[in-house]
Amino acid sequence: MEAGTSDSPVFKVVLLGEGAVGKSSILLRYIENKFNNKHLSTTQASFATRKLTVNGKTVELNIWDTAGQEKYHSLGPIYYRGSQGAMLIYDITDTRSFERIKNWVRELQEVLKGTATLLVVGNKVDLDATRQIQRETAEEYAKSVGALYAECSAKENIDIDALFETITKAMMAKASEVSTLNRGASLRRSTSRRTIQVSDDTDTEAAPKKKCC
Amino acid sequence: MTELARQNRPNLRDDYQSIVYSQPEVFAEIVRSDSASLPPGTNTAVFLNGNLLIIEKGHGVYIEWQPIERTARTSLSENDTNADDWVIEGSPPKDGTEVQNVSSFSFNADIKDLRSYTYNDPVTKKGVAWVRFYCKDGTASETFHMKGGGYRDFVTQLQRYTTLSRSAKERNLVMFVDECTEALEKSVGMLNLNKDFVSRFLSNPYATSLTALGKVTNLITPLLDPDSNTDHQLQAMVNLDPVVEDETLRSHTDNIGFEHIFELQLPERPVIEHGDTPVDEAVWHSFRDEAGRITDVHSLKSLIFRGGIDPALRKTIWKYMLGYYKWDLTDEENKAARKKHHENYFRMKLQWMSMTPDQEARFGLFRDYKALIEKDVTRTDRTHPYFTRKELKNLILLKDVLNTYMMYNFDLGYVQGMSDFLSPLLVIMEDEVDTFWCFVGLMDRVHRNFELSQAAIKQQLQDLKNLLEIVNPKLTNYLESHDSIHMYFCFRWILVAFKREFGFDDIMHLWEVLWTDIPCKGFLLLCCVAILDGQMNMIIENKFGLTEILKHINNLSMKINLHEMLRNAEAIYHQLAAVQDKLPRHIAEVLSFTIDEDEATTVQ
Repeated sequence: MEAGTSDSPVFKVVLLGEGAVGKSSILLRYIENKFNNKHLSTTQASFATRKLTVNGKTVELNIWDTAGQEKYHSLGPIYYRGSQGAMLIYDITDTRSFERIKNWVRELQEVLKGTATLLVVGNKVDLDATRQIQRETAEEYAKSVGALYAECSAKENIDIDALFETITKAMMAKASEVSTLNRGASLRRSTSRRTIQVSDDTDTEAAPKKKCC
Repeated sequence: MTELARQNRPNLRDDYQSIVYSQPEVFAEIVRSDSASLPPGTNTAVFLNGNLLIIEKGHGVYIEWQPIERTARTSLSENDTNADDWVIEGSPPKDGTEVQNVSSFSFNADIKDLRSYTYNDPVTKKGVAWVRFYCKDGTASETFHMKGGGYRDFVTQLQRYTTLSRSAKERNLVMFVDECTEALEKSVGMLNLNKDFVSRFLSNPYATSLTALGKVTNLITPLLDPDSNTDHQLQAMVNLDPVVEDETLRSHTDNIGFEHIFELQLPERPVIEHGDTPVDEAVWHSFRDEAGRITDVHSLKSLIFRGGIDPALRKTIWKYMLGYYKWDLTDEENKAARKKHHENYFRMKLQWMSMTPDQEARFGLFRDYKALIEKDVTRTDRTHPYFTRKELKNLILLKDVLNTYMMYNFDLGYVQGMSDFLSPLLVIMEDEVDTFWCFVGLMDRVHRNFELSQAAIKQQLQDLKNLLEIVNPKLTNYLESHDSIHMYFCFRWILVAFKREFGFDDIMHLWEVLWTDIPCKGFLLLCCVAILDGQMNMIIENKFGLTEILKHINNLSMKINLHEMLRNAEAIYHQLAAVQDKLPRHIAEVLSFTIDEDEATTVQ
C-alpha cells in the first residue's frame, strides 16, 4: 500500500454486491496481488488505497469494501456517499447475485444522481463452465442503465487491474467534464479532498502492536 | 431512556410515586394580577414560596413546583420581606386588589414534554440561582428562584432521567435531549444530512429552507420508526437528495451544536490484578455436590470472570454457561434432558433434510437462507485446523447445525456473522447435538444483533457513545467533530462479540468472561470503551478522520492484548460504580447499577 500524497487527485470507489461474489477478493488481488481461499466473510466495511497512473496522470484510489448480505444493506449509504465510482459486482455463476446488482444500481442512480461512474463487474470467469449469466445479457443490462461492463477473475487474476483502470479513466473523464462546466467548484472540491487524505498506511501499520488499551 | 426505565419496572402501578428530589425555599416569580393598576415604577413581580420536586411516577418522571404559603413577597432579599408581605388569598392586601388562588401557580410537567430550560447559577454565594422551564408546546413556567440553593443537585438528579445539553450558541440555555431528537441527530449524522443541509443553507438559505425543511419532516418519521422496514428507511434516505459534499463549507457546521454540561469527575482508575488461574478440574469438583448440582453459581462465575476456564473443562462447563445444562439439576437429570434434546434436534434436522427440490422451489426464504449458509460455511475460520480442507466433515457439521438452527428459529433465519458464533462451539463440543443446543443458548444472548432492523446494534452503539462520553469526553468530542460519533467503526466488535479481533484461544476466554455477566451485562461495551480509551492519542494525534478511524480500528484486529483490555474494562467499571448515583439513568441501566433499586421498587 502506498502513502497518500498531497498532489494526486483522489477518487473514492465503493465495491457493492451480494455476499460472496468476491468483493474482498477483488480488492485483495488488486492491492496485494494475493488470493486467499480461506478468507473470512466481510462484516464491517474497510478500505484500501492505491495509486495508479492512467494516461500519464497519477491518481489515488480510495477503495471501499462493504459487507454484502442484504441485512447489512442499510449501512450502504454511509459508505457509498461521496463516491465518484461504484463497482457493482456479481458472480457469473449466481443469478441471484446478478439480480441484486439491479437494486444497487437503482439506489445509486437515485441517491448519487449520475455523479458517480458505475461499473458492472461479472466475477469468477474461471468458473465459466457453470456460468448462469451470459455476458451479452449483462452487457446489455449495463448499457441500459448507462453503466460500464467488465468481467474478471480474482482467483486467476484475470483482468483485475483492467477493472480499476477502466473505472478510473471514466471517473477522470467525468471529472474533467465537470471542471469544464464549473471550473471553480471542481477545483475547490479536489483541493479539499486532498487535504482530508492524511492517512499513511505505513505509519498505521508501524503503530506499537502490544500497546492496545 | 425513560422508556427503558419503564420497561425495567413493568410492575409499577400507575399510582406509584417516589420523590427523588425536593428543595424547599424555591420562589416562583409571579406577576401581580393587579399590576396594570399599580403606579408606574412599582415592582410588578412578587415571589411565592414553594418546593421544587422531581417525582418518579409509574408513567413518567415529573418536575413539580408546589406553593407552600399563601403569602407572596415583593422581594427575595431578607430585609424587606417582612415589611412588604402581600397576601394572595383571604384578606386582601391593603391596596385592595383581587388575587388568584395560589394553587393555580403550581407547575407540573412530565420531563418528556419539556424542551429546555434557562437558568442562572451565580458564582458568588450572594446571588440566587433561578430556572425557568420551556415546554415543547411553547409554554414556559414561572421563573423559580432557588433561594435555598440546590440548583446543582437538581441538575444532577435530572440527568439521571434525561440527557441535558447546554446550547453552545445561547448562554444559559439547556436543552432536554430526548430519544427522538437523538435518534434524528444520529440518523442525520449517519447520512451527513446536516452537512449537506447546512452547506446548502449557507449557499442559498431561502430556497433550501423551503425545499429541505419540507422534506425533513417526511423523512424523520420512517427513520425514527423502529417498525418501519429498510425499504422505507432507504426511501427516506433516497429522498434526502444529497448534494455532492463540499469540504470548504463543512467547517461551518463543526462548531454548531451543543456541548454536554457538567463533566462528571471520575475517580482515578484503579489498578486491577487479574490472571487468576483458570477454573480447573479440582475447582470444578469442589463446586459440585454429590449428585452433580452446582449450588454456588455466582462464586463459580466470579472465578471464571477472574481466570477463565481450563481448556479441558470448557466442553463441560460451557454447557452450563450457555443454559444447555442446568446448574441446579443433578447429573442424572441433565443427562435425561440431553436425551430429549437429542431427539428434538434430529426432528428439526429432518425437517430441512427431507425437503424435496420441488418443495424448495416454492419456498423462497428457505432457499435464500440455505444459500447464505452454504456461502458462509466455506469462509468461516478456515485457517483453524478444525476447518481445513482435509476436514470437510467438520464443515458439513457447521452447515448442518446452521441449517437446523434456521428451522429452530425461522423468523431469524440465517444472517452473516452467525457462523462466527458457532465455530468455536463446534471446536469445543465436537458433537453435533451438543453444539446445536449450546448455539441456541448463545444465540439467545445475541440474536437481536442479527435482526433486520439493526435496532439492537444501533442501541449498543448509542450506549457505547454514552459511556465513552463519561469515561473519555475528549475522545468523544473528537469523534463528534470528525463525523464518527455514530461509532460505526465498532459495528463488528459488537456484532460478533470481538470474534474477528482475537485469535481462537483468546476469544474463548473472552466469551467465557462475557457469559458470566459479571460485573454487568454491558461488560462488552466496557471492553469497547477500554480499547477506544487506549487509542485516544493515536486517533487524535494523527488527526484521523472518519475513514482513517475505521481503518485504524479494523487494523487492531489480532493486535489487541486481551488481558490488558479486560483489566482496563474492569477498572473503568469500578470508576463508574464509584459515581453510580450521579450517572444518567440509561447508563446506570447498561451497567446494571439500577437492578437493586428496581427490585426494591417492584416490591413496594
